[in-house]
Amino acid sequence: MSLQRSSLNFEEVRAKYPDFPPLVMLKIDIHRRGLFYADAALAAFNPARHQTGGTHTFGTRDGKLTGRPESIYLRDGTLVLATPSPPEQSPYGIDFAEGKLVITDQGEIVEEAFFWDKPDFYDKRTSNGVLMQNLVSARPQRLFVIPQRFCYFWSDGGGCKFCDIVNNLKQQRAEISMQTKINPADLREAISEALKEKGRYTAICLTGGSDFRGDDAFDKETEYYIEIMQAIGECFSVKKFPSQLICTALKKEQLQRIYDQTGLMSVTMDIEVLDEEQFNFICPGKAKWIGYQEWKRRLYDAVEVFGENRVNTGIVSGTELVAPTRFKSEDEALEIVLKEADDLAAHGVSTVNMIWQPRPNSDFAKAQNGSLEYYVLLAKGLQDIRRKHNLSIDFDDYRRCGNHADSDLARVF
Amino acid sequence: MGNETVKTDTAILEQLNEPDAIKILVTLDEQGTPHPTPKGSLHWDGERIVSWEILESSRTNRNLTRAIWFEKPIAILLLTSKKQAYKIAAKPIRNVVAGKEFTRYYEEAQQRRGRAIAGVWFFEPTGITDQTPATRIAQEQKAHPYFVHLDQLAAKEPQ
Repeated sequence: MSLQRSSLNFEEVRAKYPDFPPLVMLKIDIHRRGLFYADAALAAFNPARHQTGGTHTFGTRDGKLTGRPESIYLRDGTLVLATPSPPEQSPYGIDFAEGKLVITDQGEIVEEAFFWDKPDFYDKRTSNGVLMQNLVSARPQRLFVIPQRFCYFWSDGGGCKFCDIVNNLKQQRAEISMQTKINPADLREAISEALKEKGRYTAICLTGGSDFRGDDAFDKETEYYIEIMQAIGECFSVKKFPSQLICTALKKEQLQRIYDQTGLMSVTMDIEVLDEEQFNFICPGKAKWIGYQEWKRRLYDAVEVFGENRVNTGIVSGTELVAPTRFKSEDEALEIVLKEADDLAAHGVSTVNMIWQPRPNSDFAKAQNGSLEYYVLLAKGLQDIRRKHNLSIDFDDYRRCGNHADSDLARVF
Repeated sequence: MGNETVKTDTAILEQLNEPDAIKILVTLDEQGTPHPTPKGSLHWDGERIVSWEILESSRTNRNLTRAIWFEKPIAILLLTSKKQAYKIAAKPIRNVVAGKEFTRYYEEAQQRRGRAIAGVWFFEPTGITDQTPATRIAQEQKAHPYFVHLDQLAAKEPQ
């Protein structure tokens, strides 16, 4: 039996939810369906001025890594974080018409768009000769460090089914000489260089693959993040600076070490799926090494270490709908997911959603993501829960991150 | 009849750039309550009205975001050094928070005001109304000759 999904198109959803911002709705739909760059858009793209993709954690939806724009943003500052998709996924077009970059749907212009500007440090090299963009990548207002690109869950047969991190790393190694791990001294040079660009960045984010090695599980991951964050901290004049670590659900003692020994201000431990049964199916490595209920408990512990409004978890929304899901409809999934998010929020943990973008080098490559209406209701529901529990999401909002439609909504509250 | 609104008038918009001009930006909150705030950075760049936002979390910034999302109007009250007053109705058309264009304004603000800015707003003027008291009085007296107290029209000495 196929799962019951909403069949409303963009205009129908827009008409049904007039209080939902259309620009954020458009972002959601682009994240769902992906995009493609028309020849005229690529002709307008200038790699010397605009940011080229290829250095991020995950691969693209059509499997091609380099040579194209990183992504776009909209006229209200909303970021779109989508990669080119194959035509069968009905992607939005990015074209150049009427003297400007535009977004098209079925050939019709629906909005204006803007390329991301290339960071000044991107083509520079460290004294060891490492290309800085391979150490630090950027979003329009965020520095992104991926110290460890290998996920050890994959070595154990436990990689998350939606994820392509290790396959993407293999491609990055082959095509752009990407390193698996980075040298803290190189990173310090790159961050220091990046900070010379005035007004460019508002936050630093670290993330990477899980590493369960160590005397206690994940001690290796903990120690490496401390080493990396200390190197970054040498670039700042204050002890604590706007920063976010997206890591495995570490134990309270491990989190306390990171908090005490580095400038880190906030932590994100992505549970990926807000349903225990689906979590066990989709994230076997996380289920084996930590478990769903323990993951939640460690999130609550993190609030005690980092404080309120400094801890959240991410979900790759839409994966919970992939067969063999226990959900019979999107409505049922939505109810369960929001109930779980409400439980987390009652303990001071915010939930943000990443709209799942199926990638060819993942187990879920051929599966279908959720409907636009599902994602609109999810985004609204998650932000409503934050308001109900008086939770702020400043450290993971439209600007510090830009990957979560639900935290985009926090801009007006 | 009465108070005439013009779509745009470059000569008036350029008065936003006068150093002594007083500029009040009025936005609407979620409940539709007007929120006025002084906004010295408001200026006319020849094509658009521009303002800087210092506080990312300010009520004005949130209201402007709501305005660009839901096509809500905003208004600017301009008081010139020559004691003229104008209401400029406008709509936000772009919020720049990143990129080289943002950097240019960011550096300019730091140079001129010694402050970092959170964002830049661009507005398209949709109507300008002369609110100068003398002008308004003349307009209304002409349009509504009955709206007057008779003692104002009385002869000083009965004839």
